[in-house]
Amino acid sequence: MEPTRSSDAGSGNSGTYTPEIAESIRFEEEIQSLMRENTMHPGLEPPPVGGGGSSFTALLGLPANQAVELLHEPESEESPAVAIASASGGEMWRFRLRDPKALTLPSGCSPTFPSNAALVERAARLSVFATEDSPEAASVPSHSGDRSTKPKAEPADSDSQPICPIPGERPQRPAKRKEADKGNKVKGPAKKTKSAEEGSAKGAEENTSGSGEKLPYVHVRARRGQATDSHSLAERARREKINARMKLLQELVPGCSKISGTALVLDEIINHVQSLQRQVEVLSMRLAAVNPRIDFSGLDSFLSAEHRCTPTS
Amino acid sequence: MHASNSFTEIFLKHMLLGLQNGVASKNMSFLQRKRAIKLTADVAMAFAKDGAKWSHALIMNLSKKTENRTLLRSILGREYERLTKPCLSWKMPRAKKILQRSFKMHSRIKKGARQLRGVNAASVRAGAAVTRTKVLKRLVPGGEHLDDSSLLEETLDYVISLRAQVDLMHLLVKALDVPNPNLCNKGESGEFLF
Repeated sequence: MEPTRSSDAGSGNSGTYTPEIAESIRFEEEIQSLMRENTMHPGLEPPPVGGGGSSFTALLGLPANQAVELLHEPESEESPAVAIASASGGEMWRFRLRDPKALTLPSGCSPTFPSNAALVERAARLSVFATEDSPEAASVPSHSGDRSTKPKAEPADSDSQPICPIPGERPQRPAKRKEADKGNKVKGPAKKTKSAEEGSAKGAEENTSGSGEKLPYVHVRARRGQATDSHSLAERARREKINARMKLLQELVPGCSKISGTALVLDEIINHVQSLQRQVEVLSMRLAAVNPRIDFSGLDSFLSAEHRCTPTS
Repeated sequence: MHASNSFTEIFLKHMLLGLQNGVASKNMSFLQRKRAIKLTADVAMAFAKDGAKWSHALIMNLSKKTENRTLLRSILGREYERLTKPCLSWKMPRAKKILQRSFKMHSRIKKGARQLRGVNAASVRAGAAVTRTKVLKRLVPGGEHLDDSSLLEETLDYVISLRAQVDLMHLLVKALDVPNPNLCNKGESGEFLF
């Protein structure tokens, strides 16, 4: 069903969009519809007794959702899902999407969906042709969610994932799209090659083979007219890594995407971190000033009860 | 909804644990309360995100002061021993240190050669980034021993967790600050919050 849909999209669209972008838009729509389904779930929970409409879960639900989306991103820096999405343009991505849905829907696991949504949006956003801003991209600072093992692992395990190196980070998305271009940089699990030519077959092979592994080798292809010296290649790989992470930080810190130049961006990041730390101080003061007679002992029984009630969260 | 976010859930749970043990029904001055609350918030945040380097560094920094230890012990429970073991304090393997040192020497040599041509834009830009990187290293817990790319990775993680912490504390303040006369009762406080 899905491949036929995508092929229809490819043929039915006018020449403005390539099939890939149509598919990526379709992913977003799918994900958004899934998210809408998912966000209907909290509505089904019974409202609290005394709450004037602002229950803690509702309050916590939204920011926590975003928080976990944001959180899922850095935990696994590699994204076979993104790689697959960009590389094959979508059948495999859809396939992988069906998988987590089948696995996690019975347990009502919501973090995977928003993170997948953010992932898709990020992939779509970073793609060459995606010019429109999806509505959720504004609210979710387009950080990709689960990458390597998340869609298949329980959310409880998510926190114990080590941060793996970032070889597949800026993934194989250029491979197919930028075939026409000269300078193409593909990162994948292979040794360094010093070829200055574009090999589409090789690119495709890397993409499909480089999906789920975290290999220490970074495949860097030299651009035309650039030195293929091993030192400069290493430096370039390192610089690309750093630039990729700076981009992520730029998207995270508000107002940083317009700034160009490393030093100013770093300035903004430092300011942001400092302001967040100061906010923590202020909030802890406010919490301390809250009525000191508050008895926290009642919460303990609540917490244990809550853990018992929720089945597989 | 709330239960499905493991980070937030662990964070909240440990924060409430810590608040309960460390703060409730103790006669402390205002500043002591504030410090204890900030401590529990930081520890809970670091504990909930155990896959990152900064979390270990944060916990180790906090455990160096002796007055924090009891609170830390009560929050972390079993994990206390594991997390405060200083075996990871020397976080870089020797090879990486040697590489970093040689790289810095190399760049220093190169910059020395470049200085003869006077100050050009590239070196100014590089210098600006270097000073800011040093500032960032001081801000992020455990950032001193990291190289540039992993430093950026850690700041990314740290910023996200900080944001979550701020949101969570904000919600706590909003939730607890209601002038509700029945707030202190056992049963109703639980119902009110959830």
